[in-house]
Amino acid sequence: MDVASFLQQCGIGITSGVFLGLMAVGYTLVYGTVGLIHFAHGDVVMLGGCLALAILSFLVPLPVAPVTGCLAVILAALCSGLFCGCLNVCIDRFVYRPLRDAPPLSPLVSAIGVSFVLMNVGLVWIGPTDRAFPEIFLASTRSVGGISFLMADLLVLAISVPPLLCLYILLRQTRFGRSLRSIAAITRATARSGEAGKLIGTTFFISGFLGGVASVAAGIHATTINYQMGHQMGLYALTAAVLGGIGSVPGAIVGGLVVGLLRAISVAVLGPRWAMASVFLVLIVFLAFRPQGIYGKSKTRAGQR
Amino acid sequence: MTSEGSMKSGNPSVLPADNPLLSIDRLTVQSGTLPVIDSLELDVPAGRRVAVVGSGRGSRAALLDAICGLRSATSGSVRLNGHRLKQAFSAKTFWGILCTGVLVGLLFAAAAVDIDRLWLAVVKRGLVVEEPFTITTVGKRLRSYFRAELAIDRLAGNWRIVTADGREVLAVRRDLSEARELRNQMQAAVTARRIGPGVIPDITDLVGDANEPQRELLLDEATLDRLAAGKRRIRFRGWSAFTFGLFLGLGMSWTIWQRGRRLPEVAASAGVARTFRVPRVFPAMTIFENVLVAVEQGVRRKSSSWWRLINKSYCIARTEELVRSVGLAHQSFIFASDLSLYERRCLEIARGLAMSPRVLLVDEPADGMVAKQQELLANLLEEVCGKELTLVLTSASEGPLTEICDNTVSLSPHAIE
Amino acid sequence: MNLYQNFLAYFLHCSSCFLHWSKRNWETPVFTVLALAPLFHSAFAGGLGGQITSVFIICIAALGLNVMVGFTGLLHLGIASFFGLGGLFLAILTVPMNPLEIGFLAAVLVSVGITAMIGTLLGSPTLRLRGDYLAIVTLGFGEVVRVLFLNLENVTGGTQGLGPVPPPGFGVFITGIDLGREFVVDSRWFYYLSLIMLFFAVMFVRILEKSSLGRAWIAVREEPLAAATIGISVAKVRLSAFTIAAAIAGLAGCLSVASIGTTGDPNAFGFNRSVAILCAVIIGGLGSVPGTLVGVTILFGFDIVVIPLVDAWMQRLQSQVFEINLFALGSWRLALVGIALIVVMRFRPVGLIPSRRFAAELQEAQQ
Repeated sequence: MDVASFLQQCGIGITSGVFLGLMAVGYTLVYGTVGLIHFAHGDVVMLGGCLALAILSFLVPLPVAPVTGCLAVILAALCSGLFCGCLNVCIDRFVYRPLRDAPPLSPLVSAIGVSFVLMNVGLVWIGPTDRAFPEIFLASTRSVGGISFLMADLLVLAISVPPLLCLYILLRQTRFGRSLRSIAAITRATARSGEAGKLIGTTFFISGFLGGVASVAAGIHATTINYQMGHQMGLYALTAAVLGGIGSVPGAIVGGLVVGLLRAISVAVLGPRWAMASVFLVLIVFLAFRPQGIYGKSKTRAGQR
Repeated sequence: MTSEGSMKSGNPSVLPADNPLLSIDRLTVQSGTLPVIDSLELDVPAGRRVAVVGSGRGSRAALLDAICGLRSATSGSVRLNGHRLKQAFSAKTFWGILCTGVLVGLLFAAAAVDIDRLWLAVVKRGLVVEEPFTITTVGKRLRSYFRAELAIDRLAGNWRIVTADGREVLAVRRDLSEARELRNQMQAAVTARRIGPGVIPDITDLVGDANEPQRELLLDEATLDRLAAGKRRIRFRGWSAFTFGLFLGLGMSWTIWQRGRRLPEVAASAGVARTFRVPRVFPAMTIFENVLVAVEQGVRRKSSSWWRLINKSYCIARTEELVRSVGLAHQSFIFASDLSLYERRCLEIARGLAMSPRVLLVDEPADGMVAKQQELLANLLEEVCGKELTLVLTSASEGPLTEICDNTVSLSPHAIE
Repeated sequence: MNLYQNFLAYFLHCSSCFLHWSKRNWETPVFTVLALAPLFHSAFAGGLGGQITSVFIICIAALGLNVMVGFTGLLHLGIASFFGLGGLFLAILTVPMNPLEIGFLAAVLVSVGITAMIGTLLGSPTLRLRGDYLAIVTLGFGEVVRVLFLNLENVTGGTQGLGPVPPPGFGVFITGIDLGREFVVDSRWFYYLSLIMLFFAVMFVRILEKSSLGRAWIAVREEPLAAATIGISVAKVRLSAFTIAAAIAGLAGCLSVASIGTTGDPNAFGFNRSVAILCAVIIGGLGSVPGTLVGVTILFGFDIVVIPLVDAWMQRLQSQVFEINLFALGSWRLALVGIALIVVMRFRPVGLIPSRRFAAELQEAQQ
């Protein structure tokens, strides 16, 4: 593999890494506040993709000018973000909240149940086959210094980087962010209080919103969506969150980039069949050396659960 | 009771002893960047009871944690009977790490040379087909695959020559001996090509039988080159992946072993038992089981008494004795989650004694106890520990529990929790 | 040795209790009824027998998972991959395409052994991780196994699966009856085989639970810190649970492949199957053997047995009334299972038949 194609794969990797990071932030935020792996997140994202598909097919029935197309995509991303956010809040309200003081595996099973239900909804909504995302200006490529890249990938970056910046500002600069960062030590007792409930609801909304944006980005990047997309992407995003140290937001983004790059490079070197296997191999090896992930805090006392 | 004078920061507090059982040497433990224990020196002779008082609760807990391996010390050492409480690097460890490394290396090598083709070449396709597949031929076939040797394969009454990974059908022959001859010639040709410009044998008639319209391939210069390159590639890939996997496996198992060296179970099997400030009993086990599980571990630790594991009666008798001695015999079959704090503390002491330790660390036994319970607990400890057991207990203040101790050591209060 | 003694004691206990059934000894009546059922209902020889057999097989796998999740408290999201691996090794060892073709019993033993070894290998670098990380690693391992199954076509047969696996007793003649043929023709043979295996699995898990290893598992689950301070090597104890879970799941996989005759589509060993088995265990009640069986029976019985029946019935009804096929339950199957999971967890978060230990642990947590 020569340098140019390597750089090109890196470009693809970073693009997919950014939206994987967006999804991983969703996992990590929820884990940081309620200590639960939100298994249905991938399927929430998949439903967001379905909604975006519907909106885009409605808005862009024919090939249109790039500017209009971009606006339509941004609109779709916003709509799907809001939709996913609300869906996530509903899931929290009706499924997770009643189980706050249940044994730790019960919410997990509920999350899996929600994931099944959502997957089935997606299956009925868009059918069992791949559905093509409407072509905005996906096919056109630009070439800079021998590295050609799709315009669509630029669009992906354009819609997924601003939410990340907003998130950064939100977490660093506002009172909400401070309280969110301090909530990591939340216990079961305080999780029931009204204030904490509001905070948890907001967390779920933010993670859903980011997931919705990520779904549009993923749809544009992969050019198709299907009802199992949520599962596949969710797995990569979860890996990213764990690799970065679950519970840490910058870790999730860095983890997303790492997973995206790894995936792109292994697709180029070993072929797409082995992408998932190589990503997980790297995860296992990495965790053997550094069990807490890239940014995770190392536990001071062994066995603290 | 003799009370030593309170120590200044960093000063050694060595109890007079020729041959201390537990010796702590310049122990420093940091919590974040703040040192909670700063170069502490403490020697405890066998059979002595020592109470650690003063300073913050965090410092006292850190001392016990550092002794039993729950927290790693920043510097300094803890020795029991002259040995550090750390797993020694034994021959078993060495072989374990080496085997893991080789295994990971082999896995990587197999993956790098393509498991699918390897399987095809070794199991599904006979490299020498007149031999039926047996376990003994596996090694031979594996070697031929890694050398990328040409193989003879039977196909519908015909003999054909394929590359060892089953990729390319080179020629078809009717007769086995002819085919073998042909293979040897080709092998020689490829080897010559690989070594360098040499004499290439006459291989002009390497086409298949004229009567059989099978897939045929003329063995020209380009094919020979490709085969030679294939040989090099498979070897290179296999070896480099093996080396990479070997080092990765060695590194992984070394890291994991290193991380597991200072775990509490190591200290426990050396004979250090402890209790916790907030008693950590196993809530979903009965009192009896709580003690029994520790007794069993104690028995397992001593390889000389392996038969006691089989003969349950020893474990059961010892457990009954321990449960009785801490006064919980009347409720030995209720779940530990139903116990009060005092009872839990008793249960923890019984559990700690169950593995017949040499040192018992008791963390803040007076915490949460009223004066009467403290006295009861002190009597209990004095009674069950006997004369031989070394006891280290921590306490916020002097009280009935520190009175049973021979010495009182005061940590300097410079580091606050 | 210890195990053997316990085994013997348990066996004697079972046989002595055979006629006195009490609440604590539920196995005897349940297994007696299951063993006698085919004698009274001829449908067991056909499709129904096959369906119930597959429920039994999943029960075995779930028992293995229960060792890991219930007793040791480690979340394992890749049990189906061990199920698949066990089946794959059995197929590799017995399929006529491959030159090995060893006997059924030996093949089962070898493949269970290899599956257990793979479990150990996977477990050893990961068991010092926090619980959630372990879940992700097992989940990832499950996906890797699925991908390997799909991609190593010469080894695994790719999407087609490896087959045909000769039935157990292939080529064995007893009084002129070809045992292998009997297994294929009459599904009651597999019914009994899997029933016996299930019985052994239940006994095995029971014995383990009462052994010193079982106590160590529970100690590690309850208080890993305290368990370490009494000398239990936490990582080793967890590793043993991981290995045993892998071995039992591998056994179930062997049975499954033998009864179907092929390894089938590798996608069946993916995340969904793993998670379904996990849900069955949790619904039934963690750490409880009867609970596991009940959970699997409800979840998979519904999925495998009830849904086809209901669908056939509804199709008939709809074609009579509306003359078109409006609604098939089968297409909403996932959602039904999902809703069932949510509802059960909402109203009975400890599971249907919680073990007494688990109830005690929960009480402790709520204090």
